[in-house]
Amino acid sequence: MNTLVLIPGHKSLRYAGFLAGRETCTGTIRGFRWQGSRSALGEVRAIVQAVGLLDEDTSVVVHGLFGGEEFPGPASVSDDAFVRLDRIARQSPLHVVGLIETAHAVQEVFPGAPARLAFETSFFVDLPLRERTYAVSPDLAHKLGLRRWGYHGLFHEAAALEAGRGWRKRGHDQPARILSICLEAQPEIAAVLGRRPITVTSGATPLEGLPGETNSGEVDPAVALALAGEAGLGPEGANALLVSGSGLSALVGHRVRLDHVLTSKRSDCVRARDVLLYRMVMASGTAAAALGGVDAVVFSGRYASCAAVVAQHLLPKLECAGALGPHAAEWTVFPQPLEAVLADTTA
Amino acid sequence: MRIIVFNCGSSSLKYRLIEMPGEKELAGGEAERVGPKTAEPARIQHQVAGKKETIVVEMPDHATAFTQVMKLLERDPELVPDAIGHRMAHGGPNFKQHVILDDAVMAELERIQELAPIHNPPAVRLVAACRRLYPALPETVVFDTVFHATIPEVARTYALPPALVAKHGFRKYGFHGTSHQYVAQEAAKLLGVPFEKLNAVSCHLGSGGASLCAIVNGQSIDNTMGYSPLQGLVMSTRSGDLDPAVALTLLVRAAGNGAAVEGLLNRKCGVLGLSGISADIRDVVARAADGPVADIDQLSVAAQVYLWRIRKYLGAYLTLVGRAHCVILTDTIGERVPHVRWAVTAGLQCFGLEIDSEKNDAAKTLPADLSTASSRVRILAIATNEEVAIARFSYGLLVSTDTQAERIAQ
Repeated sequence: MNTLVLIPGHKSLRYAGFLAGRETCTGTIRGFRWQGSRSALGEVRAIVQAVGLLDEDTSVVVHGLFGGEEFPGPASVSDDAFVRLDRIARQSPLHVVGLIETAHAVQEVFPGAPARLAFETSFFVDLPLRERTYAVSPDLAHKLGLRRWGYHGLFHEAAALEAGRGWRKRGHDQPARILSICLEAQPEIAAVLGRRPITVTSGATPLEGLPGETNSGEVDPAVALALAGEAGLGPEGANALLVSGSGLSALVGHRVRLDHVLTSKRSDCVRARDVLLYRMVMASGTAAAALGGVDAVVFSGRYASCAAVVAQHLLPKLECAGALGPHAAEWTVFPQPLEAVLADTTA
Repeated sequence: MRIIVFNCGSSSLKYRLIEMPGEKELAGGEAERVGPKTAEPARIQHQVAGKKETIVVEMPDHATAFTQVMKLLERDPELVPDAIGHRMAHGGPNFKQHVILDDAVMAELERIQELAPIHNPPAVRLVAACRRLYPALPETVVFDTVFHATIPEVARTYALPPALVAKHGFRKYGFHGTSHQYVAQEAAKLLGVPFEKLNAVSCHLGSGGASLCAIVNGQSIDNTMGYSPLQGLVMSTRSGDLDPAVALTLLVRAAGNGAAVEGLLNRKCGVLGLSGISADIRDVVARAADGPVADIDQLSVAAQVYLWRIRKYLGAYLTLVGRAHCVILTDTIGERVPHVRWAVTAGLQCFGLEIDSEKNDAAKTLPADLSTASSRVRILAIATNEEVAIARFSYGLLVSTDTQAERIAQ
């Protein structure tokens, strides 16, 4: 079966075509929102048609960041899916409204092709209650749809599955206690027991957790309020600063990528790297406590090639504290890009 | 030297008169319901040599409460203080040592008081009243943040633009330092480890505020509280960690009223918000658990969330510390609630922690070692005594021949 993977972003649309499971074309349509989903998808259609990907056997997978509790797994693009998307639109309007538009466009541009949605949050729908609950009143949490999510669930799920296979190959029957480290622009660490997530660093939004390329990660909530009040930014300005004007780029002083921070020897990058690695050690210790120890460590994400930098810093600390199982120091990398992970999802 | 130590709450004033250097408690008590009139009358619970008395007296402010306490003490010439030691929650970026009060200190205290809007302002008003009413008595100020002055830059840095950080002082300060330092010193004595070599995680679990502290070589390297005492663990009425985007969403819903959101997150969340029945975790755990807690999943959501957050941070800090000598449990909950001690330490054998459930249940007299004989990391319940700690610091300052400038420069 051929698969066309679509990853709509705020400004661009990434696509990848898989012919019998092998990636045959990949690219990005810029100005995606500006030109409209239909027009952008029309361009993609022409490209994949040219490489012979489009036939009656082709299915389309559309990436969604937030699926809320309505989408505990991938779902076919259907009237029912649109109803469910409408229900969660209030919780994450920026992402969901764009996704609805893209999904409609897919139906128009690729009529007859089976299409499905795959969400980053699905893996975390069943996060334990104690982990997903914030210490606010249940009424308020319900009104705001407030709970913790992870935002790299597709990587964590696929990487943990792979790590679990390795664990079982060693002859273990018990589910593996997996430390899953996703090295994306907004990095994320999850504790996974077998195939079930137990903790995750992100929060109600992707802002909470580890610092990323432009997002602050965790800060005292009083700081967020002070930015809006004392610093005069207002709520929207404070949010924009924390999401887009903070993180590793702010620490370095100019826009940087995660891989650059992890590998550069420049002193400004070293400082940013130290802050990131410190938070990663904390998050890994948290995961180890949640799991009662770590059997396997797996890295994923577009910057997984930098895993050694993180592993060399982090694993000796876990080992020193006693939290690392006998084989966990032999960390692994899940090398697949997001496009390939999406192509493997089934509705 | 008799030092009266004041620990000022928003509507209370706790005090202890301590003879130094022997650390003998001569008198103590608490002025309750200080401030506007409440359903019950304001009163002072006063105790001397085991003899308790309750004095009902109007105390519209902390200055009046202080005056009334001094009157009670002055009834006996042997109880007249020679000095006053104050607890101050937040020392801001400049107080890296405890200090003797002078004009410059007073000015700085007033300047930084809004960094801890619940805790510092009443304490600063009390300091001012003491100065005005008893100008001849030397006063010291002991800060909760001072022990955390050693938190390294990497741990105290928020990933924010440096210019904003410099302008507004956004950084982790850490709190409960006086308590963490006191119990860590006691733990070092118990274990026969020099304090400057002690590696530990201290869990100050109060009935109100709570924080964990990672200690390496006797120095604080991290604390769960942050820029303010709001961050970190789930507390009685404070939310602890919260996605900053959520705080901003609440601000929008409150039409930009930051004080209302701060009030919500500080006074109506935490155990109270989650349970809807009580701000005291003892009530919540007692309702949910009858006998030893076998699995925290069996507890109510409020109890689960409270305990889970502590366990997570405990794992994080044990990883930071590396080879820990001990985990210390202290303050009201840590000292008195075996359910909580068990639920946060059990199942962490991977970190070398093995709690002995019988010892844990039986521990009535503190300090107590709650761990099994084979536990690599000792689990200790130690009673905190912030007042004695404050008296120690105050005495040290008052008998020192160093000038204030020399001390601050150290």
